[in-house]
Formats: sequence, C-alpha cells, structure tokens
Amino acid sequence: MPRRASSRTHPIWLVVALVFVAGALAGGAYLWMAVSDPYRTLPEIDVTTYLDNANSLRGNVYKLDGTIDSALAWSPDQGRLFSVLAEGNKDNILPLLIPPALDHINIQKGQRFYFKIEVGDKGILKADDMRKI
Amino acid sequence: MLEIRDVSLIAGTMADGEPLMLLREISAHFPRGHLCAIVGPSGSGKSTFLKVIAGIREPEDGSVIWEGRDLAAEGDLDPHEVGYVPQFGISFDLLTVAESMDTALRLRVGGLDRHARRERAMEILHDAGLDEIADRRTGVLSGGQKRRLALAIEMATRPVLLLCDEVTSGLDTKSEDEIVDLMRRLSLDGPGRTVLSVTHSLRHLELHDSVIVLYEGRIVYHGAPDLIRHYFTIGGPEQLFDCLALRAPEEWAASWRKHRAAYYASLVNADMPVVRADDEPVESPAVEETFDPANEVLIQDSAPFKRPGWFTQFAVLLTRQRRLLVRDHGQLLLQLALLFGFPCLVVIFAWDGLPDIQNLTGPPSRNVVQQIVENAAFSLQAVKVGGLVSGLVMFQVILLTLMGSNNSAREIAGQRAIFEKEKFAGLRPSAFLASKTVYLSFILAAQSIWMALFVNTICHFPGDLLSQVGILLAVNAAMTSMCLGISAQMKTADHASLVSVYLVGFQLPLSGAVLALPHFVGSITRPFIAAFWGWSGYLETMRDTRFYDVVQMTSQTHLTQFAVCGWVLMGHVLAGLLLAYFGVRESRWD
Repeated sequence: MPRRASSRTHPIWLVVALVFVAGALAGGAYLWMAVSDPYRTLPEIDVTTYLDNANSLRGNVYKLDGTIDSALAWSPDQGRLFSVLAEGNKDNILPLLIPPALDHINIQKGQRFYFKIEVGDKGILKADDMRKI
Repeated sequence: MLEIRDVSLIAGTMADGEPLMLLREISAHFPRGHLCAIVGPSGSGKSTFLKVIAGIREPEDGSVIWEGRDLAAEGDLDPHEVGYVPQFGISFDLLTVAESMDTALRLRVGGLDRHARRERAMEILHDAGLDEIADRRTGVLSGGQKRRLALAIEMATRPVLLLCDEVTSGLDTKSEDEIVDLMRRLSLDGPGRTVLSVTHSLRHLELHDSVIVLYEGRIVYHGAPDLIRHYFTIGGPEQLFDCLALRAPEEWAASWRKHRAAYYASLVNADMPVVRADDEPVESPAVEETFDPANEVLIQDSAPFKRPGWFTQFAVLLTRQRRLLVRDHGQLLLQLALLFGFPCLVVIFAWDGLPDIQNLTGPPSRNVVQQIVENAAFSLQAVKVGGLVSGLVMFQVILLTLMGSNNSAREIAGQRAIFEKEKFAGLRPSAFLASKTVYLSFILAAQSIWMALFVNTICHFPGDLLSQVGILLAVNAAMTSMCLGISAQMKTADHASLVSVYLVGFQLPLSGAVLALPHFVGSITRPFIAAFWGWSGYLETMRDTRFYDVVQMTSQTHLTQFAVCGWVLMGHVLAGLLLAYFGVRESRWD
C-alpha cells in the first residue's frame, strides 16, 4: 500500500471521470436534438390536404419546415405575410402570416425556418413561433 | 522508535540493463529524542533515503516502521506527526514571517483561538530566533533565516519525527551553526522528537547523537560521531569522503554489517568496546535488543491533536491568495491592464457602433438589371458587415481565452513546491482546489462582465445582453479551468505556461471562424475548441437579427445553438476541474 505522501489517484476516480465524460456526451447529444428542432413533437402539416381543404384543418397546430420565398404584404396590426416553400414539397407554396409578436425576428428571402403554425379562421396559416435553421 | 528495515529503491535501469539502485538494503534504528546526521558524497542517496522515510518515495523492498507499526501496511504517520523540511526553504516572499507562521498554524492545527494561535506562533518564532523579525517579509530574509523559518513552520504541529534535507547547504558558517544548534534543541524538545538531518557539511557532526554515512546507496557507518575517526582510521571528518573512495561500496557495507551491533551498543552505552572497520567484530547485543522501544521514555502531549476543518483551510487559503494578489503590484497591474485594455482593443474596430444593413425581403424587381445590382450590393454589404460582426465577437472570445490562460496557467504549478509541503502537512487537496476555483472565479467574472458590458455599450450589439455576458463568462471559465488543469498536471510553471499558450494559439485557426475547416477535421477538433463555442454561442444570442443572418451568409462554419454551446463550455469547465483535481491529488515533489 503506498504511503500518504506518494499516493496516486485511485482507479475508481478514473472510472468516475469516464462516467462523467459519457454522461456529458449523452446530455449534449440530447440537448442538441432538443434545441435544434424545438417543435419535433408536433405533427408536420400535410400540404396536400391543406391545399385541398384548408378549413378542415382549422384549429390544429402543426410544424412546418419551410423556406421563405417572398414577402407578400405587411401591416402593423396584422403582421407580415410571406409565401413559404414547404421542405420536401417545393412545388407547393403556402401563405404564412407572421404576427407582430414575432416582429423582432429578421426574415429574409431564402432563409429556412421551423415554424410552429396554427390553422386559423378561413384556413389562414399563422405562425405562433419560429426558429431559424 | 523509527526503524528502517532492509529498504531498497530502484530508479530504472542502467545502460547495461542492470537495475539502478539508489538504496540497497538499508537498515537503521533511531530512538526518540535523537538527532542524526546523514552524510555522504553526492549521489550517495541521502535525500532519497529521507524521502523514503517521509513516504514521498516508495521503496521496492523493505519497510519503514514507527513504534512497531509498518507505515506502508498498517497505516501511515498522521500529518501532524512528521515534519519535512526540503532543501530550499519555501515560503511566499510577499508574506511576513509572522503571517507565514500564522498561516501554517491555521492550515495545520485546529481548535486554536486567535489568542492561543498568536501565543504559540510567538513561542515557536522565539525558539527559532525569529521573533524580532516577525514583521519582515520572507523575501528579504537571509538564507539562514529562511531555513529557520522553514523549521519553525514544521514545529507548528510539534511533530515527533522531523526530516531535514540539506537545510544548512549554501549557508555561511554562522548561519550553519545556528541551524544545527536549532535542530539540536528541537531534538531535545517536545515528545521525544527524532530529527534526521541530511547534510553535506562535515562540521558540527559532534553535535549530533549519531551519524549515518551513506556511500552509493549503502549504509557504511551508523554510530556515534566521535567514533567516525576511529572506524575509518582518519584524522578528521574532512578526510571521510577521500577514505570512502579507497574501497568498493559493497566492501564498506559488508564491513559495516559485521560491526553494526557493537556501534549501536556504543550509542546507548558509551563504555561499550568499539572496533575498526577492518577488525574482527566483537560480542555485542543484537540491534533489536539495543533499541528496545520499551526502554524509551516518552513525553506524550496531553491534549489530543485536532486537525483544522475543510472550510477553515479553504478560507485561510483564499485569504492568503487575496493578500498575495494585493501585494504583488506587478501581477495586479497586469490584471488591471488586461481587464481594461483588452475591451478597448475590441471597440477600436466599431467605435461608431455596428453599421446598418438592409434586407432583400421585397418581391423580385421587374427590372432584372436592377435586381442584379441590388443583389450584388447586398452581398457586398453582407460580406463586410458579417465579417465585422463575426470578427468582433471572435476578438472578444479570443482575448478572454488569453485572459483565462493568463489567470490560471501558473496558478498551481507556480506554487507546487509550497502546496506539496502543505499537503504533506495535512492540507486537503480539495480545499486547495476550491480556494483556487473561487479566487479565479472572481477574476474571470470581472473580466467577462466588463468585456461584455463595455463592448456592448460602445458597439451596440443586438441580442440578449445577459446571454452574451453568460457565454463570455462560460468561455473564460472554460479556458481558465482547462489551464488550471494543465497547471496541476505540469511539473513546472514554465511548462504549464507554454502548453497553455499553445492551447490559446490553436483556438482561432481551429474554431473555423476565420477559415472553414474540412468537415472531418472540424468535427474532430471542434469539441475541444472553447473559442468556437464562445463565438457560436455569442452569435446565437443575435439569432433573430439581421446581423446573425449576414454572418451565416458569409461564414462557411455552421453555428450551433446557444444551449449546446453553453453545455459544451460547462463540460470544458468540469473537465478542467477534474484534471486539476487529479493533478493536485498526485504527489509531485520534484
């Protein structure tokens, strides 16, 4: 048994360190997944169904992965209206209203976002939240 | 009684493949209340012998026994029972003699109130002849005074075993006389103290109760000092080393084994007959009979020893750290220069704030040429502003990593010798590391908060200021912590500084902020580059702004979410602290 002044690190500490590193990596991976797609628990909007009958989806909340195509209109009370290309369904353009509550977010043509959207009255798509990708 | 039984120590192998033996089958006995000088030519294993007794080095064979207890197998001496004074007196130059003594008492002895502590400190300093210079800083003490202070500090716990390694080397005659006299008094003082003194000097041997002569790792004499002339047939001690060279070490050792019992007996009874090295041995009691511990008269301390608590040690170290910083004007000025100078370097590049930029969000123009011109202007603007924003953020981050490295690279390695001494005397490594962590936390918090506030005030970075402060704190903490870990793992402060400088130097190129790394290289190196996570995390605080967009457009390195950046940087902090903890637990005497 080594004496006090020459004692070395007990192997159990190395095991503890390895467990710590493994835990940190696992936690990091989980965090990365969680924050990179905050709306991953929401269902993706079915673009075809929406275009066929928007009213049928009223009141539902979906996730939309889309790219800004163009700014269509703006009103200080209503917010900004954009045309958005849905990922994986680029032939279909969706109109999306970004309410004034999200005015602090800079939006440019060609930018891709995750949107948390709600199908409102008359089938109008309104973003409740959004995150740049 | 201290007994060394058949101790051998090997230090690697020689060129011919034979083991390099620093100590060979060393056996010796030392009663309580005994002063022994250990002499021998350079390289004879004197200091190694002392380190084996102290437990600093582990012998391959043999055992060190205290009061019948094998210290390796049955439990070591308690820190307060043993004092070890290394070759060079080590103390903080900026503390006074009284402060050094007071700190030693507070770190080593518990249960003393201020009055009792002061009284004991003055008593020890008086015994060591240092009471009249108690207010003097140790940096201005003479060599002899420093050695006396080192001895005085070891007396804080009133140890029963005191090991002194060349405490008289390099001293003038008067100082040497004083130190030997002090050791002599210490051996007679207290609870039957055994004092072993390694020395090069052959003067004053007569003041010791016994003398060990080591020659190439072997004991070739251990007996009364006045019998050395007789045993080696020399005119005086000054001829001893020349005499040793006349015979092979193994011959001297064999001769000593024959006569050892007689000389040990003569240590106890001055009338016993003694013999010369080349005589036939005479009848004498066995060594074990001569040194029967039951015959020793011990004076025991009445009050049981109380070790100070973890928090007391932590608080004492933190107070000392603050005191040292305040008194070290050079270090203080450097810290202030970094604190206020570095943020100024950043704002030079955006003195008027960040420039305005316009979006391309409108519907496509009907005029194609105009559209192309607009796109080109926007791209040019994006490159310019994106580069500026990215550069300013990275500049802050790099300067903070530099400050982090400067904060801690020398912090443990630079004090290692003193720390090892204090750890040997009972300081808990966790208390030491905690004091360093808290001290550095104050410094890095001041640096990071001031950097964020000052730069933000001048340059008007958009985004959440609190998050920006947080990520700058995290990146500074990450680098400070990693460099603290390096400092704890390196042998010298210079090595620690060098490795830390390399670590900072790699931050910018491997962050991918300036030049994008190949994907494969980036994914391997990036987890370890704090600057990337600080840069990315800071830019993420501006995620919803157009500045973030233009940086994204111009940088080929993908930015990572704020929370992930914070997580990775916290991982760096904890990894650095783990590295530091393992480092301070390890014994690193040389």
